[in-house]
Order: sequence, then C-alpha cells, then structure tokens
Amino acid sequence: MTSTSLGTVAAVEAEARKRLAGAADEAALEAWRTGVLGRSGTLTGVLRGLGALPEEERRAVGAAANIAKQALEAALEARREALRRAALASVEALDVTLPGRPARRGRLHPVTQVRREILDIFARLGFATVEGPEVELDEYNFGHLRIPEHHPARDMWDTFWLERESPSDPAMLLRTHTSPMQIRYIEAHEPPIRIAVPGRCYRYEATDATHEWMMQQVELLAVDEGLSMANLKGTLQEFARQMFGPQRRVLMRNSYFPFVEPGVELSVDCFACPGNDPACAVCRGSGWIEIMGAGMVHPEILDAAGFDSTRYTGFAAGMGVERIAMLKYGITDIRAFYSNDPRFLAQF
Amino acid sequence: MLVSLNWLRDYVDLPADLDVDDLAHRLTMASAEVEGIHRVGAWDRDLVRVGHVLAVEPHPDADRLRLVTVDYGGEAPMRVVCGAPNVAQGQRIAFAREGADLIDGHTGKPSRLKRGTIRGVVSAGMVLSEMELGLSQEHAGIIVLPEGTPIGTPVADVLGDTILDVHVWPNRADTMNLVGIAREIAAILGGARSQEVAAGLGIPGDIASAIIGHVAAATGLFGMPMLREPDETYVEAGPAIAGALDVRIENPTLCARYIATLIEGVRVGPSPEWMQERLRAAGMRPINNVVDITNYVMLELGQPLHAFDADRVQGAVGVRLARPGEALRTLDGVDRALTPDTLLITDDSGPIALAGVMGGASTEVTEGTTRVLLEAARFDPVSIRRTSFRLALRSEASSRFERGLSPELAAHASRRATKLFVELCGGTARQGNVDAYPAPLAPAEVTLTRARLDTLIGVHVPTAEVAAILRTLGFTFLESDGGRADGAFRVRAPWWRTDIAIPDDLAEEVVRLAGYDRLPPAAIEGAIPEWEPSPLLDLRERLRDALAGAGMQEIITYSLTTNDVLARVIAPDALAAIRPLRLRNTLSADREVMRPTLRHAILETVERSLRAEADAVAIFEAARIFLPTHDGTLPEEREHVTGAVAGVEIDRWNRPTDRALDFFDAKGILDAAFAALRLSVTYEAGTEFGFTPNRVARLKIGATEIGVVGEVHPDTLAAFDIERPVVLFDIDVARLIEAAPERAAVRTVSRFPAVEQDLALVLDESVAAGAVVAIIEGSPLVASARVFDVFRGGRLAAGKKSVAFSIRYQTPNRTLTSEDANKEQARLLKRLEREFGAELRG
Repeated sequence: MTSTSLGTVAAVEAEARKRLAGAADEAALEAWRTGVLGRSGTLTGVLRGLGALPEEERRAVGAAANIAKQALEAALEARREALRRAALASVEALDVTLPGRPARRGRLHPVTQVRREILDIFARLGFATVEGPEVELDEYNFGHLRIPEHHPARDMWDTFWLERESPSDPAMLLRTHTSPMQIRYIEAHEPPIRIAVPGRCYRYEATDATHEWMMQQVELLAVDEGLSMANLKGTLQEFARQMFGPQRRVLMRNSYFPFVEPGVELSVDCFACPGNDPACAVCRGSGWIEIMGAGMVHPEILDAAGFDSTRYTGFAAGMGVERIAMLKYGITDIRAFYSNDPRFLAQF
Repeated sequence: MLVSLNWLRDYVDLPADLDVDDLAHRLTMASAEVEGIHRVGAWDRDLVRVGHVLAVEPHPDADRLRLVTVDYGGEAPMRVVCGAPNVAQGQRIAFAREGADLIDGHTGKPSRLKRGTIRGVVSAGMVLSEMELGLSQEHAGIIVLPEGTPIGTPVADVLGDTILDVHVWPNRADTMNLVGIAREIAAILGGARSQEVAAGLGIPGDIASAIIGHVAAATGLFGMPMLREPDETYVEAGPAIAGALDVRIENPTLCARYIATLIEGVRVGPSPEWMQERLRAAGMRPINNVVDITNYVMLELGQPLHAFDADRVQGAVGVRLARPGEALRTLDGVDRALTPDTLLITDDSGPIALAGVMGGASTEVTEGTTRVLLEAARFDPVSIRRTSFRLALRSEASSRFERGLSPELAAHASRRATKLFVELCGGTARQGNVDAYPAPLAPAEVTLTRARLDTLIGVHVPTAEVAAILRTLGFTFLESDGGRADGAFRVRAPWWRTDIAIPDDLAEEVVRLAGYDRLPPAAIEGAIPEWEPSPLLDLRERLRDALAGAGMQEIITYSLTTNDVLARVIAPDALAAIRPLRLRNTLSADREVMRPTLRHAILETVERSLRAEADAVAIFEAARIFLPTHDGTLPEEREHVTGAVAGVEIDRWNRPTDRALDFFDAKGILDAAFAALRLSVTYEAGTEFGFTPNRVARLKIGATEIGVVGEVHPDTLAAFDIERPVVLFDIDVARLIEAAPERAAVRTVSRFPAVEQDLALVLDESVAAGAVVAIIEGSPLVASARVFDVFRGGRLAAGKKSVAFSIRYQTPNRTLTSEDANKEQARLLKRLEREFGAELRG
C-alpha cells in the first residue's frame, strides 16, 4: 500500500466524484458506494492506511478523510435524488383523454326523481308524505268526494272497475286520482293537517302523447283554522318557484271539482319562451302552462270528517308527476316513461 | 260546445273592435274553458263582396251554363259565367273577382281565382257556393244572401264568424247554451268596462267603479254590455188548450215539470237559411223546421225539447217508469226492450218516447205533420244519465239534462220555441199550455257572511263590489242593506243557477269575477302538524337509493297484466290460490288483472332491454303487489322491490366480455345495497318456482325470510323469449322492515393489533361456506372471517372441495399472540370437524 497523504485523500475524493457523476441508475450507485465507501472501498482504504502515519499527520489526514467521507455520502444522496427526479420527469405520459375504467352506474327513474323533488319541496313547507291504496272503494274515490253515481262529473275520471266476486261486495276500482286519501286521512286525523300524497293512479282511457292510462299524482291537503285561497296560492307559487325557477309566477283560473269550492286550475308562467312565442312547444304561445287543479276543501267534506267547517278551512291540490317531469325535461311524449327503454332512462 | 260570436251578438253587445283572444282568455279565467277559436271567413274585403244579380241569360254555347250580370258595388256591373242551377235575377249573392283566395270547388284545395274563358265567354269573377268560401262541402248551388243585404258589403261582414269551442263545467248547466255564455260575458265585460268608466270619470277606488258597474250593467249606460233575453212573445191565435190535452206525471221525483204546448197548422219544410247556418255553426245538422226549432232553442237556452206529431199521440200524455215487458221503437228504428228504471213518455197506447233521451218512431214529426205537441220538461238528471249510458244514446239533450236543469227553464224554452213555430212554420198556437209542475222549486237562498268570504278567499273585496258582482250575475238581495253594511250578503240565486247551494258557492262567484290575480300569495301561518314517522316508505326509498347506488337502473312498469303472463312466474296452485283481482272493463287484452308480483314485469323489461342490444342489464322496480282478500275488502297492497341482472360483464374499454353476469354479480349488488342500509342479510339455499333448482337463495334477516334471489329457470326464460341467463331477486319490503333492527349495533374499534391467519379446509360439497364462516365468526376471539378461495379437483376426492378462509383474530381488551390464535384455531377446527366433517387441507 502506498503511503497515505492529504494528497491521496483529495485524489480519492476527486476520482469518486468523477465516477459518481457517471452513475446513471440505482445499481451503479450501489456499485459506486461499495467501491468507495464499502468495506474495501477506496476511501475506506485511505482510512485503514491511517494507522501507519505519524500521530500528527494521522490526525490531519484522518480529519480530511472523514470530511471527504461525509461529503461523498451527501453527494451520493444528492445524486440519487437527482436521478429519481430525472426518472419522474421522463415517466411515460398518460393519455388523459382515454376513457376511465367503467364504474357501475345506477339511476332512479325520472318519474321517481321528479316525484321526490316535488315531495321534498312540500316537505320543506311542512307537508308530510303519506300514501294510500291504489285499489279503492267507489265511495272513497267518488262518493265521499261528492261525486255520486251518475253525476256528470264522473265523466272527468274514466275508471277501471274491478270485477265483484259476490253481489254483496262493495264496488272497487283503480283509483283515478290520489284524492281519496284526503278522505282517508281526515277520517283518522285532526287539524292541523298538512300532507302530500304521492301514488299511482289509473284512467280508463286510450294512450297518446299526453295521456297514459297509468300515471303518478301528488295530492296536497292542508286543513287548519283560517286557511284561505291566498294560502293556496302562496303555497303553490312557492312550489312553482322551487321547481321551475325563482322568478316564476302563478295564475289561477276558474275550474270545477266537486270536492272543492271554489275550484281553480293553476298555471305557471312559461319558462321556455318569453311568453308569447306561438311556436313554443311548452306553452304554445299562451305564456302559461297548466300544472294542477286545486281549490278550497268543500265544507261538507270537512263536516263529514267531524271537523267544524265554520272553524276549519282547507285547501287541496293535485298534480301529475309525469306532466311536471315532461315540462322539466322537455319530454314531448308521456309514453316514453313506462316503455323503460334503457337508452331513454340512461339520460337521467 | 261551439259558440258562434255572430249568434252570441243577438244576446249581448260585443265591442266592434273585440279582441277575440282576450275575450276567450277572460271567459276561461272566470267561467268556462275556451279550448279553441275557429275563425270563419278571412276573405279579402275588396275582392269578395255582396253582389246583386241584375240579369241571368243563357250561355250561347252551353246548356247548363248561364251568363250572370252582377252589380257588386263597383264602377260597372260584371258579367260572369255561372253553372249553379239556383241562380236567379234579383238575388243577393256572394261575389268574388279575380285574385280572390278561395277554395276550389272541385279539388277542395285553396286556390286563387283567375280570369278564364269558358266556352268562348270571358269570365273574371264568380258567384260563390259555400264550398268556395270554405263554409261547407256544399257546391251544388250558390249561397243566396238575405234580401236587402247592402250591395258591395264585404262578405266577411255578412258570413264571417268566429266560433269558440267552450268546455262547460259539469255543474254549470246554465252555461251550456248561448244565452248562458252571453250572461257570463256580460258580467265579465261589465266588470271590466266599469273600471274604465270610473277611471274616465275620475272616480277613484273599487267601490265607485263597482257601483257604476252595477248601475251601468242594469241600464246599459256608458256602453255597458246589455243582456237581451230571446223574445218569447207570440200571439195565441188558436182556441184554448184546456180540454185538448192532458198530462199526468206518475213520478214527480223523476219529472219535476212537464209543459206541453200545441201548435196547429204547421207546414213542415226546410228551416230558414239563417237558422240552418247557426245550427251548422254549432255542429248540428239541419233536418226540418220543426226539429231545427227544437234544436235551435236547446242551443240558445239549454233546454232540450221534443216535438211529437200531435195527431199520432193517442189520449193523455203520461210520464212514468217502464213496466215489465214494455218495448219501444225509437226514432232511429231500433226496437228497444225497456228496463224498469227507464223513464218514459206514454200515451194511451203505451210508450211514445224515452224521456229526455230519444223520441219514439210512432209519434215522429214527418213531412205530413200539421199539429205539433211540444214537450219542455225537467227530468231527473240521474235517470237520464243512467238510461242514456245503458242504451249508449248520449246526446246534446242528455248531456244537458244530466247536469240538472232549472224547471223554470222549461217555461222559457217552451214559449220561445212556440214563438218560432208560429213565425217560421206558419203554425197557430193554442191558447195557454198544460203545465204539470206538482211541487214548484224555489230558487236557492244563501247567506254569505263577510267573515266567511274573507277567510275563504284571503283578500278583502269591498262590500259594494261584492254586491255589484252578485247583482251583475243575477242574484237578488233579500235585505235592502245587503250591499251597504259589512254584514252578511243574503241573496236569492237567479233561477238558472242550479249549482248555487252554500255560502262558499257565493264566495266563488265573487272571486272568479273579482279576479284570482287579486289574491295575494301568502304563506301558511299555522304550526307545522305533529310529525308521524313512516318507516316503510322511508325504507323503500332508501332501498331504491341503495340499489341505484350499487349500479342498478330503476324502472316503472304497468300494474296490470294477464293470468297467462303470471303463470310463467307463479306456480299454478299458488296462482289459483291468489286469484288476482280482475278488471270489469279493460283497454286491451294484455291488461286484465292487478299483478300479485313484479317478477314478470322485470323479465319482460329484461327481454326488451336485451333486444335493444343492451350488453348488460341491471334493473329493479319498487312497486306494490296486489293480493286479494276475497272477502269483499280491499286487497292487501305490499311494497316489493324486484330486480334482475343479465348480460355480460363489461371490460375496461366498456366492451362486453365473455363472462356472463351470474348469481354472484346479483349477490354483490344486493350485499352492497344491504350494507348501505346497514342490514345484515344471510343467504340460504332454497327452492322457488320459476328459478333453476340448486341455484336459488332465500334472503334472511335472522330467522325472517325477506326475499329470494336466484337464476331464472330456463323454461321461464323461454316463456319470456330470453336467450341469456338472468338472475332475479325479489324483496318484500314489509318483511324487511319487520326484521330489520331499529338501529344496527355499532362495535367499538379495537385498539389492539389483529393476528391474521389463513385456514384451508376440505369439505363436502354439501357444506355451505357461509355456515363455516358463521361458526368461525361466532368465536369471541375472531373479529371477522372471509372466504378467499374455493378449489375442486386435483388430489381432492370427488364430492369434496377445498375452501380457504382468512381469519382475523382480535379482541377489544388485549393484544393477542399468534399462540392465542393457534389455540383458538385448533379449537375451531375441532368443532368444524365435528359439525361438518371438515379436514385441514394438507
């Protein structure tokens, strides 16, 4: 072994730095470390050779060698970090426009979505959701609602009747509206009442772009002291705004349903055109879109439930969920809802 | 109902510059819905004018053509060629000159009139038929206008009209006629006009304008629309009717009033052109003057009338129910057997008419009729409706009777029609009439308090305005202070308002004329009612969300189906026991029973989706099934959630792979959904109709079965035309809620480390892995166990399988060593050996 000197330390360090600069991967770095700092590494050799030196020189060279060792260890780490960064910088680029791995995607039917939206709005206004039977007794669908047999108003609701199994059985039908639940609810509850009744209804009528024989309605009923048509209007205007936009206005006009008095039809101003476009598919230029029938609960109905109609008043309203959904989504054929074509449903 | 504005002007003045759209809108707002506006006669005002036929000469070269010289108000008369047989000198006719847009009489299509040369004669104009004006298909003859029609007047002013298609509410019998609509319009326009007048006179406030409105409406001042009732006066030139006719009402409840009038010396023939035109405008076909008059008065006043040939009526007229065995040949020539609830008009020979529905053939008015017995009656609406429905004879008449007419109306209509018989048929009216009205009905008297009005409508309408509105509508005040103090409004309804019964009815009158736009939108002020939980609905909705969240598409299908379709998914004995609810009236043969399951509907939709080339189908429906009670009570309606998975797995590029979706795809979805609901559901092998044996699981929570999931049986698939495997599940939401714990327990997370160990067991094929997991998880030292591999074949004997479990040992109170785990595993192994014959896999 040649004698060790300060010059040797410097030469070993310089040589090691030069080789380090040429190390391009982790394996080369490891080889370098073994070759320089390992048990038989060049710098380790310098340290081993210290014992042969005189005391004074040994101290000086030893200190220099330790400094060199620390410096080279730091250089190794720096080189390693530089290589890591360089590798990251040149990592294969992702084509971010490729499709993602498909995740299973489910959806609620648009009628369910809109029905929930309606019920959520009314829930915020204090209307609890309750449901009633789809197969009804004649007396609840009609009689108790002041539509006796042979009343001409029955023409407003073409009805599916069920076969009777015995002549003594009461007449049963598929409810034509959710209004029977007004009666069922007030029979079992006391004012104040605020309910929203969603559910399927059935009409014995031919199907076309705007008529289905099965549809969903949401019925509203509020009974309390001092309820007025202004409350009806305010409630439904609030509904229209939350459903169709904050600037919406509502229009009431005269109508007739035997179970309310006065009875009105409620429209909302057109949100698809400025209100005067004759080509508008939504309002046809009238500026108004009919969305529901409504009115003040007929006092005879409140009295029949044992409420004092001179003390309590109420309002009721009924709307078709499909109609609201058609307006909301610009759907022109109601038959799209229950044909369940996956290509239609996948859009919601 | 079709309402001609020309005709309407007989009863109410409409402004010359009437905005029809505005009128229709106001009528719709306040009274009855205008569903359509048809404008008749937008002819050119210069080119299509009233002409006077100065001369008619033969055409030199054509026998059937003539040369007609017409003065149309232009500088000089014009000679044109005309082929109409009914053209004659002196007539007022509709005349068009070249350039006018008309309907081609031969093709029926729009065309512009051109100068032409017809057999050598130049013709630059045309005498018009109804067809050329687009009024009807009548092309054989020209239109002859009334004598004295000013020459040169635009034909649009003479024959043009606007027809409103009005939908009348079922309770407003009074509006199902021209006069009724005129009353409404007078009230509506009167209210609006009074505002203008008040503003013009500088009178402020609603009260002043309302008073002016009322006064003006009653007097016709300020150009207020005045209502003119039709003229009912005529000369009773004949002898007294007394003794000539007798009317007996046997059922006064079914016939409150019956008025018979006798007109003699009637000549039957066509009714005048103006009457025919009006009938046509209203959608009715002219027949002869007698029938036309009855129809005309019905359209005008709303009272259906019937004319009998009085010479063919034998003895007294009776009104009674049919007797057993009676029959009647009606006007349409049909012999009708009569049920005992049929109300009849009779004479001494028996039935002569179905009251209010259709006349009999034996007493029909014919060309030879000279004496007319005119019936104007008030029949019970229910009776008329029942009979007209049973015989499928719904008509303009029955639809008016069934709304409930005022008995008073019969008297007005009887007089009005008799006047027309006298004037238009050359008849002589007998003096007086026979008026059977055993129990006269008084018009309703109703009191509306100020408090009730304010409460109900929620806005204060000034007392004077309320009074004015009610008076304008024909209500009379029973107390002189009715319109003054803020007390009650005590009124008598006008005789025609049979719908008015209670105070709230008056409130509606006030608000509909005051205008609903006056109502201020107001929030409900009262307390929110006490909340009632609805766990079933909540769970159903959460299950919907969970399934959609697990990748399923919700669908909604029809509740009706057929027993044949149900038989594909319900075992025959089960279906026989259910006996689904059957409809009495169906729209189509595929909708006859209320479904007691949703399974068929899911499979039908799977089939359609696969046919629509969906690679993978994962659908569900949340709806009710209907289980009849067969004891006359309403069926049980149970909420079910039913769904299916079919098709193949989709790869990373959204392409279908070869792997068919199977039981475990469905189970994975269900597990995800149940996990979202924090429900712990177990699967137990079972059997079920419509499913492949050995490939069905019953879903359980604890011991309660809540549903089923499995591969659909190949035969069932074939019945639905499905060619790929389908896994179907069906959950009974009511059972689910019975079994679901109100609140699932939450375990404290242990802070001590877990020991993971694997255990591979050789088991008989019949041993369910789930049963082994259940035993392992029963150990107090085991936090969880899961299956991670199943292996068959190799060195395993037939009928054996190797199942590998990964077990996580952990306790909440101390650190377990691997020794603890080994000890427990040995203990578990012994138990599994004992219970299942399990062996540790070597």
